[in-house]
Amino acid sequence: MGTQHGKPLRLLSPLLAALAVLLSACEAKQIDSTSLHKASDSPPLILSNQAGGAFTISNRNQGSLQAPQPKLSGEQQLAWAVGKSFATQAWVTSPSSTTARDGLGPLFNANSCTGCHVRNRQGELPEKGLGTILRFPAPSPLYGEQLQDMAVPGFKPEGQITWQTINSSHTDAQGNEYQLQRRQFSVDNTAVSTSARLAPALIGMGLLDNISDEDILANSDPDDKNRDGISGRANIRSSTQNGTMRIGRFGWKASQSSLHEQIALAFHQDMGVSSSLHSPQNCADDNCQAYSTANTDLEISDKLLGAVTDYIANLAVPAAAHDAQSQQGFKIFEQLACAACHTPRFQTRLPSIQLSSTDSAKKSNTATQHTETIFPFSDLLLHDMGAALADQNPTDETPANEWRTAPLWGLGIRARNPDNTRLLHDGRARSITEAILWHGGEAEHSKIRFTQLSHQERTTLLYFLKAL
Amino acid sequence: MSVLSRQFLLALSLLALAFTSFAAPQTSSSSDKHAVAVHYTDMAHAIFSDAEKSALALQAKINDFLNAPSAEGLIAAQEAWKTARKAYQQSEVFRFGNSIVDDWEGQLNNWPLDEGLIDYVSDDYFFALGNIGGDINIIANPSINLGTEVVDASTINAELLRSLHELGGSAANVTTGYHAIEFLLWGQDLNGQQLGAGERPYSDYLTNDKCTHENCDRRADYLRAATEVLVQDLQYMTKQWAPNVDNNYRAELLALNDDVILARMFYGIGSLSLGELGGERIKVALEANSTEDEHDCFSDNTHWSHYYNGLGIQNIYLGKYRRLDGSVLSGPSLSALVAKANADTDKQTRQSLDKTMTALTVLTKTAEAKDKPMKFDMMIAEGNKRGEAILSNILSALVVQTRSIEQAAAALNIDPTATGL
Repeated sequence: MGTQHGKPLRLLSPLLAALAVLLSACEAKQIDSTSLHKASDSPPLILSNQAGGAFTISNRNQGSLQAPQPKLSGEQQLAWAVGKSFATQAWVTSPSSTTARDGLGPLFNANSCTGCHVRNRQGELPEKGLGTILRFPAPSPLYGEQLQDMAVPGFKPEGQITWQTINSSHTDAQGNEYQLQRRQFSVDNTAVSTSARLAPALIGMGLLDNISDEDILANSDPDDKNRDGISGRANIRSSTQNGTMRIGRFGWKASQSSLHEQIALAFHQDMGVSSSLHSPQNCADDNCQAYSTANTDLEISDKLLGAVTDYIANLAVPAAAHDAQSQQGFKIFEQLACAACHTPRFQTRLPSIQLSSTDSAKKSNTATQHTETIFPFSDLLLHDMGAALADQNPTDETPANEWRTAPLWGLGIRARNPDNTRLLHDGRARSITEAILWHGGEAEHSKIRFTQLSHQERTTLLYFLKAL
Repeated sequence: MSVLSRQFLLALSLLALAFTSFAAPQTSSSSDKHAVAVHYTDMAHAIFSDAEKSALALQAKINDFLNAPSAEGLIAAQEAWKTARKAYQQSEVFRFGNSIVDDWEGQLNNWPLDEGLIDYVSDDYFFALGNIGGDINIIANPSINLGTEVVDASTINAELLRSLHELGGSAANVTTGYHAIEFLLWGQDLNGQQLGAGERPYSDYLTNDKCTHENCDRRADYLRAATEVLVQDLQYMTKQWAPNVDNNYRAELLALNDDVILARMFYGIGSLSLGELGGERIKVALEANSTEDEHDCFSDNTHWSHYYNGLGIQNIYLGKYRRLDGSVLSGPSLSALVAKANADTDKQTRQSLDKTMTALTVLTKTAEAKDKPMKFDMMIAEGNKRGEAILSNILSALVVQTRSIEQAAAALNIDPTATGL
């Protein structure tokens, strides 16, 4: 539905604003200034429940990640539904005279976007469900760049994901013990050097797509000139589409510089669907290569690829649920210097292009033309996250220990149900606390301070994170 | 006074201020709003009761047919199925504002479905790949090997069908509901985008040696069990909306703030109007030119499905429902509330709802024409200009109608997204 009245939120924000000013004024002296990154020289941040600016909807239920942003006109909602259909309905094998969704495979990981991004949430680990893929540091003679564990009839899946569970425990300053788990993945029980990647939740992608490169670069400090121990680095990439240099911002390694490229890559690698951006099938076996040579038609047209991109770009962002307590939690978040990488606020400038008119070389289209203030809680930069989180090898021209700061918006919704809470690049964390405990490298100091928090402080911090 | 307690008091007073302002918009019309909310639940009860009754009638016709399979008996069952769709399609308007309906509806109305899970299919049938259920054929297989477990399917009953529904998490694995029954009554529509629906022979249910396509007894068991599940499911939902029950959904809903209930009503009609009916069921089908995007694809009954979706939307706004027995239930309506706030907005909304129904009537008349009928699957064929015009006309009407609905909500100061869901 169109217009957003959002009365309760509007009434609430002056209250939060007043509280934020108050709290920061009161507590400024208690903060260890060496642990602060930039926060000290900028005015105190006022959290808004309008996490996605004009894209925000007040719902926070399990369907809230699937709703259109509220400013779409009627015609745009119809165009949005077309993109949604091609993202959610299963693709099938070609050739087929009767279907618009043929072109799956021959090798694939899933037959629709929502196969892995279930209800637009993050993926699952095997065997619970789809949403984990294995990538290889260099194209493997057996598997190419990625293991495809399914195949259409007449073709063989490359292999199945297998793993060993590795347990570890962590004891915090209060003596609480945490049992952590990660998986050492392999293919058909054969050890390979591989990097597991969890399908991320689809939230606010169109907004992130339209943050300017300059704004992202403004936070980068690769040589740690400000000596705060944090050295965010932009992943400067040559665009798949036109070869220009752009900042990578999507993917766990910030390897894709636009949403359009990210989606084209997912169609190609995860579903075996070719497009104008990725034509040959990516496969190692002869049978499959012969297929690729014989089938050079685009399996998803630019028009439909644009429709899927516009669908994802125009998903709504569920409102945050901040109140006085979460504002307190946010202060702790800042004190621990979490906000040094999980940058709370960005401006994003949305173009006013109509949906369904995607020029494939441009950024994704959204239907709103404004500068929006958004609260993604990520700087979209790469950071050293320590040895415990590192892959075995560098991938995507990025060191093994560097990861893009994960945006935190929607975290409370994505981590609500312990059954399907999967965080970090390989889904190893089963709760927000576990995810924090895995932090290392540039975040080591913040992690240690987290483990030193009193029970009440920790509860307050988690309360804030769950309000996102 | 310490800094902390001063801060706390200030926070409290600000909170108090905020709460006073929340309460302010509740004006004298709150009893009117509550009456509209109560009538909404009455309409839901009537519509789900009618869906239940017509499903029981379908069950009776299916039992008659299975007791003595004949061509006439099959047609009678098919007609009963079409009648059963009328009330159900009008009930879909309750889905989007009420999770209890939306979470439940998949087992009644999931589509498209991989019919190869249920019964025999033509040789060139292709199921959604990666779907382990796509070629299981429950009717032909008393034992189903799922890789990780073997399911005993020697007896086909309601319990078995429920346990296999959405097998492997795939929404295409539909074992129950209207479309499973539709497939068992009509069979696959192999006419593509030419005239003609599924042509399942009645002999698919003959238990003697004239049985066609084998396993006639198991097919009959399946049809019986699927119908039983449908009836049970509808009985459950009718009870959720029954008046004077302490702990059902109706009681839970009516305990909410009336503005929230009104927001859910507006959200429900808006979502069905554009997102579901306009978007997924018409626009997508037009863009994809694909029969798999046809809602009632086995029976070619899609035009009526769409028509009754549209009528369901109008019902809620006008507070009026014509029951299957011809009687009319009417009561306090959104329309009346809006008219009080802004007569023009109400008039415009009613007119736009009428226009949609006119456009949907062109659809049903064209599909049911005695001379050269054009069904929905023909209309969406690539290059069918007349079909495209008919459907585009419905889309335009739905767009205008949804804008009116938004304005109607705004006239009542209702934020249709503030559903608290």
